[in-house]
Amino acid sequence: MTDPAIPPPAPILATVDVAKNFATGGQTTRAVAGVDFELVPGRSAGIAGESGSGKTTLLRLLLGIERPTSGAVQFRGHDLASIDRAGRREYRRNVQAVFQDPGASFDPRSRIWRTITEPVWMASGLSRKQRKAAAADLLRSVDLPGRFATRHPHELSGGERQRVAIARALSSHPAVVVLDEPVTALDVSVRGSIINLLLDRAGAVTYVVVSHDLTVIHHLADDLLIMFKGIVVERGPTRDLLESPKHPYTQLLVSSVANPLYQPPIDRDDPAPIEACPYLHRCPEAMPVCSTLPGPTNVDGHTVRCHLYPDTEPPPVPVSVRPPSNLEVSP
Amino acid sequence: MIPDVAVPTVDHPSRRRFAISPSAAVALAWVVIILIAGIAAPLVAPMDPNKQVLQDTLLPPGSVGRAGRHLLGTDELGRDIASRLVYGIRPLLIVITLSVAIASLIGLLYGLIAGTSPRPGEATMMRIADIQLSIPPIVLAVLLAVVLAPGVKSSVIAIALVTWPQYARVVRAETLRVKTSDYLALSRVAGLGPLRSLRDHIVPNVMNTFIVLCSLNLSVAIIFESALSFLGLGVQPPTPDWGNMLAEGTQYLDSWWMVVMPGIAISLLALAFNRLGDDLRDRLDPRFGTP
Amino acid sequence: MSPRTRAAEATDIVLAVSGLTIEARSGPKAPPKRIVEDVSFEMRRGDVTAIVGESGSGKSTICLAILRILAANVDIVGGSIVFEGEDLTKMSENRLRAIRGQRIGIVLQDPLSSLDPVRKIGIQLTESRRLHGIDNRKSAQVWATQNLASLGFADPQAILKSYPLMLSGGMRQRVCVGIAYSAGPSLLLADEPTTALDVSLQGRLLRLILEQKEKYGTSVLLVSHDLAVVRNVADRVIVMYGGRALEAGPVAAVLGDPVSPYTRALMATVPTLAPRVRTDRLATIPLAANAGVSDGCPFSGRCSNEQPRCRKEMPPTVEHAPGHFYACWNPGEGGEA
Repeated sequence: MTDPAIPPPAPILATVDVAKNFATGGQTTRAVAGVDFELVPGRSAGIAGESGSGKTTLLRLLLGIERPTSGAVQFRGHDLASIDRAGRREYRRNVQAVFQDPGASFDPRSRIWRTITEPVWMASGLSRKQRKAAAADLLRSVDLPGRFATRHPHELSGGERQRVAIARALSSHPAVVVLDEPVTALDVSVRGSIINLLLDRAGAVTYVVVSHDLTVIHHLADDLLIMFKGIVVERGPTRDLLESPKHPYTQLLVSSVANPLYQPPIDRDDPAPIEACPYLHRCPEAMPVCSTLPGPTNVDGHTVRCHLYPDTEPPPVPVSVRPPSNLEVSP
Repeated sequence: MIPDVAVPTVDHPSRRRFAISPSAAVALAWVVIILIAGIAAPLVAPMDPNKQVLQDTLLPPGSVGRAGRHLLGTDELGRDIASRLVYGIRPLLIVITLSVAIASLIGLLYGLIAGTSPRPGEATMMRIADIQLSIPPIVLAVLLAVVLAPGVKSSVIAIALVTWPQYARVVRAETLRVKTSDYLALSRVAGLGPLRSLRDHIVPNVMNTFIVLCSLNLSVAIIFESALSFLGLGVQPPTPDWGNMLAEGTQYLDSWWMVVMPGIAISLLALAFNRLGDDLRDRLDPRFGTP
Repeated sequence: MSPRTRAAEATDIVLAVSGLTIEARSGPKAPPKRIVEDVSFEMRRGDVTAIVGESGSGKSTICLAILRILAANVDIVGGSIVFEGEDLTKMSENRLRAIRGQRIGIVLQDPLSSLDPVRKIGIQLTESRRLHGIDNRKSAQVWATQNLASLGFADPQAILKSYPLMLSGGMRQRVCVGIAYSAGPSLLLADEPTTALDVSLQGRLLRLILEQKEKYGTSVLLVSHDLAVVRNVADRVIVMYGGRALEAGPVAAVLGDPVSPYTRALMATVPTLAPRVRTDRLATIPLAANAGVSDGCPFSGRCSNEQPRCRKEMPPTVEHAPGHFYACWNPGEGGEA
């Protein structure tokens, strides 16, 4: 594993105990409930979960289009809530996104050249002529003809639009690209080429891939986080997690993907009490102690939140996420 | 899943941009004719609209009187109806263009501000608009006619006051739709600030619906203006106006042309603007029209 | 017993689709588009047959055609659909109404839009049985309570009185399966039944479809784009592309050792959990060089085995092994010119 004497590279994106609640019609929903996350350059991360897991909200928090209810989202160590103008520009230049629905990702009234150069235009201030030229180059870089630049989005197919979306995200040479279900809305025969397109660029960019589809994450991400009802239940290297999942929910997911007829042992829908482990009602291994939320522990290189793995040793906190040294830090 | 096919360019309506359907062409032609007739009224009208020829009162259409042939007949004071209709275009056009311009501009700004404001501010703004909508239009018009003398000015203000909330609502709804869209979120991620987003994304996408609403409201304004004049709250006689001509005609129902001619004029123009509004809507949305 | 049912019973063939061709008209001036072309297959009692394809392959259209609920601008222009001895394409609307919901059931993709949001579950679940005279209101209640229990609901009484929006997606889809099976049909059509559900709910729903099928002796026609689901659930599979059936046969044979280049390419390009190295790339299917209607194979323009005549002429359907069919001029192993 890693040599403790060499510190890991500083995380480029991080969340510190971030939480987000939504108030809908009188009720408060906890979409994300205390997530610690670090994205280290060079190691792409995948965030997997089903509906209600909070993965999309976490993605929006990372992109700064949603403000946390508590906790912090950090870019290169700086809290996004208090970042200055120059810092914000750097953040926007370096963190781009590709969304799920290629139809909705484009302003229907803007031509392709405008949309595809928006990030690089904001980052570098190009003239109209320069933007058009850049657009043609960007299109060719994803195997699309330059003449698409003057078209409107609806004149392209879904697969073509997703390519444009990827070229757009890469246009400002960002450090991070966050992808939300990048191939889910595409035809099966087109998915492979989009995944390859992303793999080809993986050297220069670190990905955060959010998906319910483990097979896509398996191809694109080095590390995998499994979310359930707002918390990260397990995290670790993708291959390790898929081969030997520790958390019962991870096991359920992996089994379901491997066997479409896999039937979960417990069929319950009702949410667990707030203080308890959210998986309480569906977990075949539930114990009395599960009425309290387990803290993260280190098990064979995975960080797991589960009472099945009693607190042995908390996972190490990366350097830049620690509170500044002028505060008291308890040993 | 989204089928992986593009809308073929051949079927795409932007190719149809230069083709116009027959009914829209007729509507456009009629509007242009009315516009020209109104602007060049002295040249177009066969006779003096206010000239009373008391020997030639209530002549049916086609009759020849002292002043010449009356294509559409004469009224109770022997005035030529056709000429009065032509001169009646002017106040009508003034009222509808001014009232729509004022109401739409107010509504546009109000709607954009409401749509881009945080929840509490937006809620308050829309409640004000709702209250405004609940005031009965005729009551408002009567009030205004009392406060400012009835005429073109009071008509413009009455119509504008009554119709601006409609624009505000539509613009606000469209603004919200764009604000919550994926592409706007991606623009924020690209680094666009609120003003640039407004300029580059919100306003262009709101414009379509807004423009269509304006053109349809021109049609509504025609009816409104005529109604106000009909009730005596708008343009006052003897100034010719389609609405007050209609009112005068109701007292001489045997001379059907006094009612029917202004009635047809009002209906045709309202229909024409309506048809143009429909056509505009089909053209402006790049995806509309394709199955 | 009428001669028709005797004949159907004798052959045990529930559904026989033959040369089915369906066109869609997009406008009065535009030429009609063939969305299904010359598709033929048979289903016996108890079969689970899957139709695999992507959007635009025509697979969902076939389900709608069987029930004769195609959109107004879509027409069956050729072929026949013989269900239990009667040709559905020539049937009167009255007779069709007697069959829909009773002899043939359907489960659609989106459980939310499949259910009426303002009517209780109990009413919707028993609607078919009451309509077809199997139950009156009282006996329907009794039946529904038992049925909901067999669908896996712990508290049937509560569910009966609930509205669809009170249930989760997985529960709603189970209700839809219950509705489809409620009158004991001979044929169940399932159009992407698990696509809108979380993957952890998929297994339960598929098992439910299979269990209920055993209970009523129903044959199931499953439409899906998910090869893994098809491999685990179906006995036979038909692979469709661009409106044509390019390969058909027993699941193990077609997915284990495919003959059609399209089937092979599809299986190679789908991402899986198989171990991989960082530099591994997925095999890809190139985008069509030119979109356009041709008289030839719809996969031409994207096929690695393509020959000049592929674009001009559709290959005939050939039997490769008993029950295993394919349509291809050049099915050999990759790249022969």
